Amino acid sequence: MSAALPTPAGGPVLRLDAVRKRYRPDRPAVLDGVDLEVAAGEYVAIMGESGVGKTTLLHLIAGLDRPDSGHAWLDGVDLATLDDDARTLLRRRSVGFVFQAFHVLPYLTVRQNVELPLRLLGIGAAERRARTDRLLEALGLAPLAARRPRELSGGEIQRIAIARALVHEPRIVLADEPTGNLDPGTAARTLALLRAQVRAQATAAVLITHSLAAARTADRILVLDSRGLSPLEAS
Amino acid sequence: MYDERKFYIDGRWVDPVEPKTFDVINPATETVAGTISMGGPKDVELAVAAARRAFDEFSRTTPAERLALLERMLERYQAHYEEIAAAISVEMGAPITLAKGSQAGCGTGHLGAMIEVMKTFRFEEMRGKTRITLEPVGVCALITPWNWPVNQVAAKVVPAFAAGCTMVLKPSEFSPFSAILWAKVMHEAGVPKGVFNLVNGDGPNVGAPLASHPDVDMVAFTGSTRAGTEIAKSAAATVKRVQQELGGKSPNILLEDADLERAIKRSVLHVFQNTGQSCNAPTRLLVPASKLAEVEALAQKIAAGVVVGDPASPTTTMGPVVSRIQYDRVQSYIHKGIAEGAKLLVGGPGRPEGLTKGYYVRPTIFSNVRNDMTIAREEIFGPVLSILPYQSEEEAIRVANDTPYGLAGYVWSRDNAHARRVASRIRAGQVAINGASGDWQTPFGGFKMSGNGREYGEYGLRDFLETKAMIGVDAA
Repeated sequence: MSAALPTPAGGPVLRLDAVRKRYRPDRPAVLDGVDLEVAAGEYVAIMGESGVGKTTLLHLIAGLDRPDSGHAWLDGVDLATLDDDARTLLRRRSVGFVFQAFHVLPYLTVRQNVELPLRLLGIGAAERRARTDRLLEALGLAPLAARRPRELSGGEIQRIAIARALVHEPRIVLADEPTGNLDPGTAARTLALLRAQVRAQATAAVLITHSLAAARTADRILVLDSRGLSPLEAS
Repeated sequence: MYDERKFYIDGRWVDPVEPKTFDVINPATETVAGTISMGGPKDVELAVAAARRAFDEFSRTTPAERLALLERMLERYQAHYEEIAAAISVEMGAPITLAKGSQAGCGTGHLGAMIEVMKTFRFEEMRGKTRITLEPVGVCALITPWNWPVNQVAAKVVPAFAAGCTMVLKPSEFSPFSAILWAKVMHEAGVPKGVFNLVNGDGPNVGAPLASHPDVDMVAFTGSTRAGTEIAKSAAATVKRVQQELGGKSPNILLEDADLERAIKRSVLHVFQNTGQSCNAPTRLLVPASKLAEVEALAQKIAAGVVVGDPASPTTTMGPVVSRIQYDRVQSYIHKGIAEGAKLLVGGPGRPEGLTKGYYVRPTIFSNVRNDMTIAREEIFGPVLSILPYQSEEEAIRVANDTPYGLAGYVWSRDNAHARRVASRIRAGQVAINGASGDWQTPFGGFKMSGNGREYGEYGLRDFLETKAMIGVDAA
């Protein structure tokens, strides 16, 4: 397992080098030579048409799928050198996820929901409380801490999702259409909170989205198409 | 294309009081499979009134008369068997081999079992000077889900009928066509008018009015624990008997001395059967930590053989999930498993490669799951298996019971006595040893939040009976 330990180098948190993925030999590659670097504290949005491979890209970044060729480094570690267990450990420690349809546990309070990743990592009660309080405060959830999800709005639930993704202080947050279910105003406020929090924690972030409005909250916008990733202006 | 806009009330096919239609979607193609009507409280009123009128006479029929009708029903069911299997496959996506086998086979199974029970069951006995008679509970509301549609219709209608009850069935609006064929079977068998009635619709507009209706004596419900508790609350004011068959998160303990290869094959395929949409699926696989790597390798091998695709193809072993709602729900849980740090061993988010249409999900296995992760706590109702390593047998038993549910349990050991010792400590309504299957008389139902009451065979029949003590009766 020690091979899974991340190197604390000052390099990018995420690096993709000529990543290629083809699912079936009779079809074109879904991803064909994708390069990407994301630094600590940097917030990058990736846009693209449906079916262009955005979700596949996210899975490769998270080590949920393996590229056919090319390399993906997460937190300084070449994912190809890790077995499934080591990649799971790296993911658990270094990655936070925010998905579109985030499922919060209905029988737990907001606080208990946010705290859960820390419990799963075996972090002690005092530190759990301190970290959870900080996130609840930062995301405006402190007054709701004792409430249960059924009493909350969609925007509030997605803020719980963001708090949960960040509470274990990951090196990178991967967000797949995190505001796809929200109205535009709530989506903008939620993304502003995500942006502020990843910046405060110096966490890298990759946002996958269809929405230009959502993408505009990022430091950089990249477009994924059959040629790979390119800056929005050049596309 | 099905066009089934009528309800079956008082022995006739009738239009809904207020026309309102619903398109049933074929989950394999996302296109309309057919149209039904959605009922409301006025339709419920008519159906309950018909059942109430029929009760007085039907409740006094002899067991032999009802047995003869059950035999007719079995004969008519077999005549419609292929149609029923095809309807199941189209409405909820079961592969045709499963629809023709286990799914439609449930109708034959429950009817056949009850025919046997009725040949010997004693509806009365003497205890001293007390004559104890078992009498039908009354008018029953039967509310059934889409996952094993004919199974749950049969597991309620058959014992209710055998007991001498009259009834109103509300099948799931996602799987109405097999239930409509069931109604045709009963009509053709010559079931007296008003004894069996069918109203299609959703929970709020048909289920809730049925569950709270003052002329309904019992509600039998299969579905989620959330909906089941709502039903019970609706039924409470009029003190109805409530039978509930609800959710599960069933543990499957592989003991140190289990035949791993056999156990993993059966266990993984059981979770993936019916696209994971079975309340008793063994979704928490507890394995000795020392054998985790071996189990993972075996599980990957078995999962690789699953063929996901068109339910109409005889080579398909896994069809789609039933609906867009269910697809989104399963995806959300897969995301949750990843986000909470479980090891993704097989599958993952999204559709299987090559399937762009239809509510298909990837057969998914997580390993190194902890029992406090969401995917180990909650019923996913999709093809998602969680593997949980344990250090000691005591820990395995504790984790197995650490769930709000108690529907089923599974234990594997080469030593049957060892397996029995562990099985006896699992708090669940049914525990299977070494992959053994029950029969149509094996009681089915849950401990804890998995429900109340038992279905199948004699135990199912008893749930629809009231006990009357007549005192001072001459034994002669």
